[in-house]
Amino acid sequence: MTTPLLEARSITKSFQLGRTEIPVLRGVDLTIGRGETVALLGTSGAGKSTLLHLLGLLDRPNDGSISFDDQRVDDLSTKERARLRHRRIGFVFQFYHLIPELDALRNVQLGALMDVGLWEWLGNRGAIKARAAALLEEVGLTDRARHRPAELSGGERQRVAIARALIAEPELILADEPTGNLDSETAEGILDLLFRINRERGIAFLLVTHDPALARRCDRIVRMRDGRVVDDGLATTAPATEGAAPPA
Amino acid sequence: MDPSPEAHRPAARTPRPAPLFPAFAAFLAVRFLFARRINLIGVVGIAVGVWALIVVVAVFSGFISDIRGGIRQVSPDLLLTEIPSDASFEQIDAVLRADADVVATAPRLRYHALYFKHGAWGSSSGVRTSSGDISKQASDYDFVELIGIDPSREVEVTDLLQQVLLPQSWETRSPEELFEIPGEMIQVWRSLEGFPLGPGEAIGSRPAILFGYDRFRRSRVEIPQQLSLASAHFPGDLIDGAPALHSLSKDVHVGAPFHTGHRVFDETKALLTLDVLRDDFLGYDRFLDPDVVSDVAIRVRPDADLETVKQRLADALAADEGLQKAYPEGFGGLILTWEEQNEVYLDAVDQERAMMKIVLFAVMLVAAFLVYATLHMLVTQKTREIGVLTAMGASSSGVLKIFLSTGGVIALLGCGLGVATGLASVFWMNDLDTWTQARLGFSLFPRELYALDEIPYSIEPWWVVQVALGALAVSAVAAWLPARRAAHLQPVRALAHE
Repeated sequence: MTTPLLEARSITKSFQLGRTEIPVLRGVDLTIGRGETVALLGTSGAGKSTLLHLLGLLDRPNDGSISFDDQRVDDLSTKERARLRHRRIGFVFQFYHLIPELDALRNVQLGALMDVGLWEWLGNRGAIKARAAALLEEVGLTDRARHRPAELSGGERQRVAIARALIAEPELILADEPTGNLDSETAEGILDLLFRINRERGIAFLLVTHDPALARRCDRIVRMRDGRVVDDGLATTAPATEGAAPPA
Repeated sequence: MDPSPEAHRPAARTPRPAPLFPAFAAFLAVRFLFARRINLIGVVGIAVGVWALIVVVAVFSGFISDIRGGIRQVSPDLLLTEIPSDASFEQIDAVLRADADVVATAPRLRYHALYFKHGAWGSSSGVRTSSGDISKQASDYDFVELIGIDPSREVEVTDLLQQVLLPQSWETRSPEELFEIPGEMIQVWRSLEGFPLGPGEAIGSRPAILFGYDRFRRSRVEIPQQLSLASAHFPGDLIDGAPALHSLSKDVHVGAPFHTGHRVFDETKALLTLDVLRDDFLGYDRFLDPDVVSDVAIRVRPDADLETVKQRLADALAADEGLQKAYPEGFGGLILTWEEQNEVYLDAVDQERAMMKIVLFAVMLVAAFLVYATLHMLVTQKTREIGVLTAMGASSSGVLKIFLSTGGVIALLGCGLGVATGLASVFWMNDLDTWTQARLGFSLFPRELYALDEIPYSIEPWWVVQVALGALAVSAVAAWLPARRAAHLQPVRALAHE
């Protein structure tokens, strides 16, 4: 494994449902190295999305610790976690989650405006816009820059979402089933784009997926079941068929 | 493109302080607001509130300004009143005029009377005061407060006589002549009325009574119609041990009406010369009581402080030896500034304006509720986007600022629109009213009701600023609650929001 970028140790998380406490994560350990691609496999309810939210600092674990670049981050203030998230972590969602009022170019620009002051933005609008346009070009959407999400196909929307995640130059992208809502041909194109970005930019990826074919393209595959990591190994050694995870 | 990862790897970033106002907040606020037309209802609400506050208060202030102007025309700077009934004007005048700030004084005498139109009595002079006669003429009599003035002195203390609406042929008349109807004019009028002068009968000029324009019109009198004044007084003698009530009467002719803009004055007062009221009507002896007055009107130097002069004159009257000798128990007397003379009326008008402001502020609260409702709805609609923004690194305060900015844009647009339409409505109100009257047959503002040629208005810049700032403040408070709700949304729940 390369130098660790993100490390989760003994993570537990449960949710309160009325008076009942529902445990979702029961002591998860996970490490993601710099520039590494990790697939997170598991059935529904295994705790994949919950783990993704914790690693993305959107939520706090009940127990355990999360470190980013050797610094503990799960106990940071809400404000500090927001800043860290913006500067170092990108998100790509299954349903794209673009802002419907903004065209593709503005959706991408938005990612650069989180910690830029109003006056600074007004002084650098051209530069930010040019960066967003370059990223749209990189994901192959130059001619769709002025289209709103409703006017774009699913694959195009996901490319915009990827460009938006890239504009803040993160070191890690957390992708929650990025091809889960796409046909296989479009999904293949999106995966090619993600792995190209990984190669060219050295950005680490954690891909939550049900798709074993996608998982096998990653460096490592982590399997979860019932809130625990049941397998963590190199993708090259993974079984060819899904569902063959070793017993917990 | 350089394919090596190092080419894209960001250089070590130096932490920078979080911006006070992140760009994305303004970037999204405007776009969220204009995404749906329904979101603009808050703008319309604020605009209507601001518009109403500006227009209504401008018209009200115009009214008040007109009223105060009218009051100022008829009210002297200072008025000495509540003096002894036998007080001598000359004696008082000497004390008052000794003050360096007193420019002029004028005597006034007040008395109440009924006035009757001639008709049943034909050309006879005098009035029988039995109740039977009065009841027959019920529709032709009315009460009025008579004010006896010395015209030549009155013009030195107030602009009252300048407000007399003179017929064109009378424009060169002196103040004294306003109170005299020429004999030739009465002769013509009597001929037209059917009781001409008899052969060889001559008639000289007769005293005139001047009514306010509203009363003049309402009573359907005309120049130089003859009227009888009737009143009563207790001269102090006894009949069968009880104070005797003596009736008073005097024939006068209607002179030119006055129109001061002080509606209450015009409605309730009528002017006579002091001599006619005091000697001919009230029956004071010209020799024994040559200068009885009830009030003294005083004009002071324009740059003098009224309160200071008022106090000084009161002290001077109290200290005057002649008055002390004439009134061992105290001269009394009360000096009132022009505002104090009309205190009740001016206070009532100010109260009305204050009440109107409160009512209109309620309109602003409704507008604020619209801002709240708009933003509440917007936060609900945008819950998932709030989750996405949080995932992208937006802080709670950043999310808060999106919706506060939206509220701010609503308030700014509403204020701008309200101020612009409000000022435009005020400036073109008379044109608009004329247009609706001509084209649509109704008047926004019944000018005849208030006997005004045009709708008065007065724009107070500080009030416009207050309204605008108030609208911004109210909008900020209204925006705060939904913005706070947005800022406190849990990002994971927000992302899962359908």
